[in-house]
Amino acid sequence: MTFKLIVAIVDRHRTRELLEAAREAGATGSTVITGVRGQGRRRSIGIFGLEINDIRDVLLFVVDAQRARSVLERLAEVGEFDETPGTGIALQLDVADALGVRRGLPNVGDEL
Amino acid sequence: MDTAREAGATGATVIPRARGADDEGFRRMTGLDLDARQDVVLFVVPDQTAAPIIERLESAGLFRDRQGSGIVFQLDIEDSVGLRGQFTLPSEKESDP
Repeated sequence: MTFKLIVAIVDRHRTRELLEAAREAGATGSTVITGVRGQGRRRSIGIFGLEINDIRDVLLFVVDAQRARSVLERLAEVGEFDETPGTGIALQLDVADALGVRRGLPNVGDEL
Repeated sequence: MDTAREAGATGATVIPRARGADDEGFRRMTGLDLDARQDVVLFVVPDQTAAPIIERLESAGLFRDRQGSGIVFQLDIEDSVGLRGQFTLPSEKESDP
């Protein structure tokens, strides 16, 4: 069984909703890295020329390779990634090997 | 981040290590016990931009001054969503300086 890592970088206010969406699409577990700073294509310069970095969360999902695309699509749909710039992105990376990610454990990796 | 941007990166995400409340959780999650506080900086860039960015970071000397100043590596992205508008495709005109 092969796995993919889905990395979603999202507006922290959408995290809960997106975790739920990913779960519905077949992600069985997730890890959240909170308090991440993001910088998009257009830099936001605020008062006094200070740069505004949006606070974001990084969501990590190790998913069955066959479900990876549907998790990506679900995240984009629920998070409105394509409709609204700056809402978030999601990427898929190959997982060469994995331990502790067995099928049939519905909450494996669900630490947060 | 400025160096990478000059070399063509259009966005960046910083995972700061300096998060006191999460240190214990981080250790438990990863098994890593890091003394030095470091940031993880992520850039998603088009294939052909990756090598120039790494070369630029290298020639800027950001990673050779001393041991422990940092590492850089590149991973392949197989698929993605939400990147529309983040990059200039060859057919588009550059609108953002």
